[in-house]
Amino acid sequence: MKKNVYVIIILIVFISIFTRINSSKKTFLNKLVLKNIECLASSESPGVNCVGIGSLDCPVYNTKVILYVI
Amino acid sequence: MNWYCFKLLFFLILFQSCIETNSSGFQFKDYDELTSNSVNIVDSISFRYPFRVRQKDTTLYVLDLHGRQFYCFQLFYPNIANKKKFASKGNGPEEFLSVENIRLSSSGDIYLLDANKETISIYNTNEDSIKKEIKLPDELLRSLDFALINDSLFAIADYTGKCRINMVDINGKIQQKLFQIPTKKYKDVSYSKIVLAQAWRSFIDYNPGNGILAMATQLGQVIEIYDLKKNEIVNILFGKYGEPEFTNQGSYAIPNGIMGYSDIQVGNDAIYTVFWGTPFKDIQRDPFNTLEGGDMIQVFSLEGKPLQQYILDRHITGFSVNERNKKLIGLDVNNEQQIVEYQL
Repeated sequence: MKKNVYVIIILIVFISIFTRINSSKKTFLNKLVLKNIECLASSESPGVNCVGIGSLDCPVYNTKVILYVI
Repeated sequence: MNWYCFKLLFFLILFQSCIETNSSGFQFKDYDELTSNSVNIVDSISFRYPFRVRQKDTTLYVLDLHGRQFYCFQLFYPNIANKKKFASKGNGPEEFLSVENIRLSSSGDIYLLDANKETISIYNTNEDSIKKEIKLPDELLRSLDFALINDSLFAIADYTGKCRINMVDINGKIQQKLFQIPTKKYKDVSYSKIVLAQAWRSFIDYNPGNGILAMATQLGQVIEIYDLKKNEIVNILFGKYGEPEFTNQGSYAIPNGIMGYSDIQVGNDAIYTVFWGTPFKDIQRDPFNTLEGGDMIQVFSLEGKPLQQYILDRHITGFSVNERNKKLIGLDVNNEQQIVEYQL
């Protein structure tokens, strides 16, 4: 019985550590991707495409569109 | 020893649950499905992109965001027929480059916000010419929505991001700047405030009876409730989709989360919103075949408690709720019949 409890505790500790490492990895990757995108974008003014007619404010052409993408 | 082990186990489980930081946000216990009632439309009425509707007794006011010649339409109600068109498109005097919202004052005047001309124009209901044009302060940047606090004071949200609400008087002077964008995620990120304000673009409504001003984000799922009589925050509600998701490219916030809310109304006892929940991934895949509008009406108490969710059989962009008879008039840009009615 005691042995089982110890095994469960060790398992939970491992899962906790794994989850934490995994989530921090994801955040790091997201930040890296974001930084790369920002670098690319800042090197030249981005060509923003405003698509369709909708209710989303396209900040480049001051019109309302379905979506805008780079 | 066994008891000690169980206590340790309990704290470990607690620790584990604390690591999972994704909160599920506010939720509605259940929902009601609503079918639209037939509306008696006498004239042939066709808008390009109906976005806002206001009701005053037997008159409806509809704002067509992409109107061909005119932005605003006055209609007879409940037997819907054309009455008058106004706010003509153009660059001349008394013409409009855009109309973001339409507001009716208690004295019967009509207020229109033009973000491109940076003006608020006031019409008298019975006259065709503009009674007064207010030039908005130069320090505001793209004022995209407004609410009437009273006949001579407006709450305006803009893109500067310096505050959440600008209180502007009838002479176009800023009287007060209130609150901040309630971001948790981008608090410490060195984005410009303008980019954050773009992502947090919200729709506003104010009820002078109870002093509550509420805002709903167009991207993400956040409702902000402020008490303007006490100048305090009542509640900031984060839904399942959380705050607006975007990437900062150049000086633009490029949305990559979801389309959230598109209209909000502060009633006497409740706050009504229309929610889309459409992911941008889906819109990007097929932009011209994705339905515009939301099919969820979410109702909150004035304190921010989720009260009721309705699922509609149509997708609507804007609405008006009559709290006395519990009727909702909605605007559907996806169908030929663009004005729909629901019994809540």
